[in-house]
Amino acid sequence: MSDVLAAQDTGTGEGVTRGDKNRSLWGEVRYELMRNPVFWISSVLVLVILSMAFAPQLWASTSPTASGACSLSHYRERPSSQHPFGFTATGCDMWSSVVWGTGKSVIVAILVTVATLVTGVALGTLAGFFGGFGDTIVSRITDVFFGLPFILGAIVFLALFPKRNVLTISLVLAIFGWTSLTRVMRGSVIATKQKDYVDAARALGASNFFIIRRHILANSIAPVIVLATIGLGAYIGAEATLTFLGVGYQRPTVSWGLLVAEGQNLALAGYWHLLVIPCAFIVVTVLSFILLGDALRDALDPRTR
Amino acid sequence: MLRPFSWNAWASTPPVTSASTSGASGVRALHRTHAGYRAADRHRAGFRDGRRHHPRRLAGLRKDKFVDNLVRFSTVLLIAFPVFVFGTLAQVFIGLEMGLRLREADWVPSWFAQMFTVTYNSEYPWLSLMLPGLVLGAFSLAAIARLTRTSLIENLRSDYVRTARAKGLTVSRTVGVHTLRNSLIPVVTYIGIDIGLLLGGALVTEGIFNIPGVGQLVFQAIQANDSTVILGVVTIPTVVFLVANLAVDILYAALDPRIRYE
Repeated sequence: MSDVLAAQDTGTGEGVTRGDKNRSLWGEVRYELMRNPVFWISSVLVLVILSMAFAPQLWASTSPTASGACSLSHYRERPSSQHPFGFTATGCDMWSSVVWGTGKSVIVAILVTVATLVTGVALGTLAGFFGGFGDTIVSRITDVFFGLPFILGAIVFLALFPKRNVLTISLVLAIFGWTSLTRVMRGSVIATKQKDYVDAARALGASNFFIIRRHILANSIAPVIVLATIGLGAYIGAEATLTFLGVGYQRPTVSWGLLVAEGQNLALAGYWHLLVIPCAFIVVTVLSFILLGDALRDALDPRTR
Repeated sequence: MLRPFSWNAWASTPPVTSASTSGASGVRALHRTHAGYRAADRHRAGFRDGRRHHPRRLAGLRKDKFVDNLVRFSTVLLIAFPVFVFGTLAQVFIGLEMGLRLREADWVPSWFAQMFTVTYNSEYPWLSLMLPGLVLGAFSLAAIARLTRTSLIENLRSDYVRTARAKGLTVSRTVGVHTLRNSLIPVVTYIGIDIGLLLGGALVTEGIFNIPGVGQLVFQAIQANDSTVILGVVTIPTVVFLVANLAVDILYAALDPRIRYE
């Protein structure tokens, strides 16, 4: 009863704050995000990382792969005032190596996320909405992938390719990554299709395709968007892990995993900066994507806030 | 009045956040937002300034307070560390730098310094596996902490919690015996899945700390195309995985008396 009173109050317009406006689902999400400091911090970090990935010359003028950029006379030199991040084990400037290596990880993460998003949303929607035999097949396949240790599986696949590039690494990561998004999308679609408005649309004579496009997709995509945002960070970590293990990028490519791998032994000999700086970039990147995903989740689903 | 949350209801009705003070009966208006539910629940359960009566230990109980934010941020930070990053950093800073000092110090018994190790030492298998174990378990630690928090927050809003409080049970009994126990079900499920992955997927940690473990064995067998070894080594973690999940299923019934296996 008292919420009826409250509703009448807002109707008169007295004491109405911004939070009381009648908004759509996505309008509400935008409002929640705008007032969340975590969202602002993480999205600024994500923008910085993306600009490093796609326009590294803005941040470091010379590419470490350009001729004459590296010199073995600077071999693993410690940080100095001229080069605040020091030099790598191959005599390149650490700052420019890290900046120019950003793109390698980020492009893999974006490719894998797009691929898994398309497969996951399509398969999850079809399996969840129509059910039946197709649903059983999709569910059992995702179950099989669920039991596979991801790193071992990826190593087996990647070891098949003698030369590995962006596409092979992305392909293998996508093969092992599509199942989680499909599962979540399927569950979300099953929850959505039992809503009254779906029944109402069907009673009005809407076709299956129309219901999926108009009602199901818009109302079940939220958890998938959250997972995909977190996934961007997770795939950056996964790419670096595979490269670190020696089944990802190969020299002379500059990438974070390779920098950590070559810095590991030298760090044991006291050259900490070779390990700490690339590690810090990996952690901050993964962290900012996870925080962005968390902020999105908070805005999309107030229950878990 | 207190409607359970649903996407649909939330999308179609505007949330009302401002408290109405003009109600004729003087009844405090129930907010229809999430925070409002909690305020209303507390009000009805009889603890008007509920905050003071809340125990201050678990993050889930102190939602949006300092401890909660600290736990949330530190678990996110732990999750953001890929295992190989955490492993190499721990090896250099804890294993080498701290370990060296401890091994050199006179007052430290030699077995104690074995816990701060760069590599696995077969003379002290348990002690030298502690640091790698910590590295391997860091992600699970963070995941379990977050899972427990979410689950506890969800369950604290249940009717049975309010009933227990209304009956006059103490907060620690309500939370410890009734709520936490029921909230552990998703946690136990996660642990069941995690055991299998930790067993077979510890490849990176084993590699960094030079541990002759299952992951390394499989890796070497794959590289050598040794299918007999692969088959055997994959079977054992699978059996452990199945047994662990059987134990999880049994634990469900132990944790939540409403679950019965006939």
